[in-house]
Amino acid sequence: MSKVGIVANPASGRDIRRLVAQAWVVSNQEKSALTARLLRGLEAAGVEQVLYMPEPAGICPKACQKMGSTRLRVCPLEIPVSGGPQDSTRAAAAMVEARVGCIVTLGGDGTNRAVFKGSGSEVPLLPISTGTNNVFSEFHEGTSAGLAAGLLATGRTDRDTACTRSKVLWLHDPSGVVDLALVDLAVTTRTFIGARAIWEVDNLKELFLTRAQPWSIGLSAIGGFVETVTAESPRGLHLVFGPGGRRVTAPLGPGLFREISISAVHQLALGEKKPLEMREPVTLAFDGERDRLAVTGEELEVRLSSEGPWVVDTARAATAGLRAGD
Amino acid sequence: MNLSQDELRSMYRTMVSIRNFEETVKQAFAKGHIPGFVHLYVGEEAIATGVCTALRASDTITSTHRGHGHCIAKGCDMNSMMAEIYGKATGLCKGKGGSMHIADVGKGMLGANGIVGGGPPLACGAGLTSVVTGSGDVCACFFGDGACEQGTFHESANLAAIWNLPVIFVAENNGYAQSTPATYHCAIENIAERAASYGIPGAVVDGSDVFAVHEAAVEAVKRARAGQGPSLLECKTYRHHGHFEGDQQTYKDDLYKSVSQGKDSIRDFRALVTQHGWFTAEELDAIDREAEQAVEEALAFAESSPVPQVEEVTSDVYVSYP
Repeated sequence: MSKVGIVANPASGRDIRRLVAQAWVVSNQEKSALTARLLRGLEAAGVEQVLYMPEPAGICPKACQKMGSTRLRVCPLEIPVSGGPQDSTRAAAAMVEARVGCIVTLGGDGTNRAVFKGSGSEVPLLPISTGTNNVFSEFHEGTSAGLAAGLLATGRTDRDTACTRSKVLWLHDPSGVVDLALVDLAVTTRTFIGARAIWEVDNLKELFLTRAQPWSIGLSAIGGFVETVTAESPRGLHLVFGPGGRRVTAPLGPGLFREISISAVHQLALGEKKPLEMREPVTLAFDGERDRLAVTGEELEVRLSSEGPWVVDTARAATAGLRAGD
Repeated sequence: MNLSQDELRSMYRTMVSIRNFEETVKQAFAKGHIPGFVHLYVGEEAIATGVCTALRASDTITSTHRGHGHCIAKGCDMNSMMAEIYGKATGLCKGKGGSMHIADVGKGMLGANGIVGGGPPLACGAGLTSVVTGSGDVCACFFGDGACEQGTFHESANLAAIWNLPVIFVAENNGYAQSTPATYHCAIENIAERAASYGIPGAVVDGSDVFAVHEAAVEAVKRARAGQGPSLLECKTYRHHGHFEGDQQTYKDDLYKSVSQGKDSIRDFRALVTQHGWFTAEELDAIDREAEQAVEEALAFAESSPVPQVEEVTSDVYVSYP
């Protein structure tokens, strides 16, 4: 049976950047409407079952109400709901176990990080941006995204043809991998997690990037103003911030430019490990969100890997999938 | 923004003072010592603390029927607060307001309010005063998720937007309007989304995390003081006790209960600051004892205070105009 998973994050696009920048709001009503279009695309591609993450806003059930009749069997996963990012991780793991052919995410980079923690790298992701600073997830129209995901899930195209393998930054302590980032891992001297987002640069100490893109917004853009590293480039970038360095003014958020001094730029090779200098307590931010406190002397290393999630290229998936049906 | 030791100490003291005050009120109410109803703020301490530490003394707040925490965070005297709750003549309102009508204008606390949604129009008045007088003060308007369905909230948000008033609307979304779940009474999951309807920014923060609330409040206050107008902060939180004391809370579902038990801003604060070595557990314990002692003194003050005289019943009811 052809199956697709949907993880729609009801909390994405709500954070403090609505106050400190000109960030937009994607309402959960719009996410439901987008999901309804997505489901129509999946239906048109011949998908039989959709498994979705249950969440308090009821994005998928409301999408089904909007659709009316459908041939799709749209079913909630039977998993506990806590209202936190662990729900996305738990849902993704359950979807992999149920053998979905693709997981479509509605959220930001943080949502996809949580999903990848549960999905691992075998099942491709199709990330639709409904967050704030989105580099990993992109703006897609629901209908065509559904068609692309459906063509992949029904076997009309395959992963190698329709998908691109992305990179990942693994955070290691002496016990092994303890966390990950899909786009950026920042070390900040801010001493608490608080509102999570990063909108000021004075606390930034180091930045590791899988992508440095001047056309993006967020931390990736800082690297992009030094040199471009795309999703496909077989390398990453490591920036160290400090006075007297090269100054760049990059868009840290929607409509929010900040100047920062970069004291050192290092190339980051695939497989290369870089230790973090832990001379003071720091907060680590993953994909733009402060999420982990680290104490002085803690042994932590960052490693760039090519073993990130497979990501559906909607144009390639639709082109190859529809050609196969000729 | 990093916080100084003094600021952190003050935040902690405020949160434990609120917690102690409320647990003491709970016991006193159970013994029948307090007239009327009380609605306790336990579980929501981080919101009042995080917001009020972003304010200056001349800024104002409006409150709700669950207002003790707001009063303490804005600096009201706990002796006079407890006396007010006891209905004593030494209370902040001479014992004639009680728990739901405590006010201390001198501290910028413009009043708890027995009317759900009663605060937002008052906050607009305070904001307009600031604009007219050019004081640069802002008003933080606390209200619950139930108030978000009242016309007063919508009218006030619109008024504050069109007049560009320095008001920070702080929605304390604890998931229940009395016993009605927000999932039933609110058509959308995030109250903050309603800000867009009035052309003002709205953000959601974890109301159990004093750092998250404070960071967002600092930014909202900065905007308001700079003449950039109102904003809406939705603080997702959990009410640990019932709507009122005596409430059996049979309406709370298992998920709410389990998540609520895992949320404790005071416990989380202690864990963070001791992990970083900013405070020792002993230093925090000492603050706990100080707070306990201050509340015990407040209780003794209230219990030993006189009730208002009968002849005072009509005084302070009407304002005399020249």
